[in-house]
Amino acid sequence: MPPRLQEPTFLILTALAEAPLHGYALLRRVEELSDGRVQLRAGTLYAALDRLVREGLVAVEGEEVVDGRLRRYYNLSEIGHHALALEAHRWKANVAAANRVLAARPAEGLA
Amino acid sequence: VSAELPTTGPEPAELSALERGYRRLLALYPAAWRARHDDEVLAVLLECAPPGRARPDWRDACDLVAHALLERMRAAGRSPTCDDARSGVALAAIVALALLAAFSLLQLLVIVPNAGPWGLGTGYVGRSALSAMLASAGCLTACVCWLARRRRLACAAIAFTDAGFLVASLMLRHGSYAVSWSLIVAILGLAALASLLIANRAVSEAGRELIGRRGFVELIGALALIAEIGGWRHVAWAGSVYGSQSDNGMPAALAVAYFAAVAVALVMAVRNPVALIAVTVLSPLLLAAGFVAIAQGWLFGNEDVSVRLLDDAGPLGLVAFLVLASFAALRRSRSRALG
Repeated sequence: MPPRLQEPTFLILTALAEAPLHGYALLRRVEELSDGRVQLRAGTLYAALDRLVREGLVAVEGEEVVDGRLRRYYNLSEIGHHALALEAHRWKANVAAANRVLAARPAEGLA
Repeated sequence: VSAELPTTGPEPAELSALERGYRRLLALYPAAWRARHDDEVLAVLLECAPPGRARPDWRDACDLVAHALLERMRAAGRSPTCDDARSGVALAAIVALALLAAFSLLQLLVIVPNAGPWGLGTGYVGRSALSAMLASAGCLTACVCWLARRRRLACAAIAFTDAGFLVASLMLRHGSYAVSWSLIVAILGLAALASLLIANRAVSEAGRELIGRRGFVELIGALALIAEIGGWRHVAWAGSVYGSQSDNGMPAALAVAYFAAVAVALVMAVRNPVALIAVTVLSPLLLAAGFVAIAQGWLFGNEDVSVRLLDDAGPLGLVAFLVLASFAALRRSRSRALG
């Protein structure tokens, strides 16, 4: 079984599943997807991106220079797509199990 | 491909100060990483900066420093995986235990001849011998249990040793001695216990080279030798206190063996990611134990065998880090020259 994805990694892959993004846009998208809970710093983001590129989950899509600054775009690879789908399925099963247990719980437990 | 640019940004003068600040932080990364990401990450950092900011955000600074150090470790040829980290922690646990056992045995060897076979548990020296025996037995039991993969038994043995030692130390009714002994045993013992609790039984291939086979024996042997031989002057010192005849100084051969053992341990740590993590985990512990020793010297103005032994361990940990850093720098410069 592939290793579990940490939450920031999961969110990075989710953001890249929508469209190829550069670093700044990726930071903002991760923040949006997590409702502001996860605010990645640049050092953390690029450490994660380097690792994901090494593992083949993410690929460099292209580069451009905007206002004299380099932008490199990252995209989800096939392997990354598969890993994300697997993790989403795993979480779906966990959420379903938690909902079943909570539904069976007596109502006064919520008070 | 979509990307939204911020509508406002820092003014040019502020930007240059901010940019200089971030460039200084990015300079901490290895050269290869900077060649790949420097401009790209700088652009992200500047885009994230709110208008008017003239200096790097402290959270960004901490984040960059931490990741630069990790990246330098990785660039030096060592990229520890999660399994390696767990194996390294497991290795640190067993090395901490071995050090504690060697440390207690040394104490025992110094004290027991002066306590006499019938004097154990009576008088100051006798009670010291009793506590040293307790610690030795507990640590050795924990080592054997760990090697036999009976992790719970090993944890129980350490917990028993720590609790028993605390009681024995209180029985001594000798303020500074009891405090220093208890703290040092507590630091190493609890660290070993914590490491054993979080260490995974499964170890990586790199860990098996150390933990399962000859390499493990070599590393433990080297560290135990460091601990034992490092105590030579303490044995001599204790001889003058307790009246034994062990005040013979340190033979030149032992000095050579001491430095050879240090070299073996360091070379192994440089070559193996698991050993590197073990050294990284252990060095602060040894430094903490050394700090206890120094603090006791300040507070009470006296020392004992155990304290002086660990007094050496602190600087040793520091030297280990410095040598590791030198090796890493050497490897980097060599790879740059080849590249």
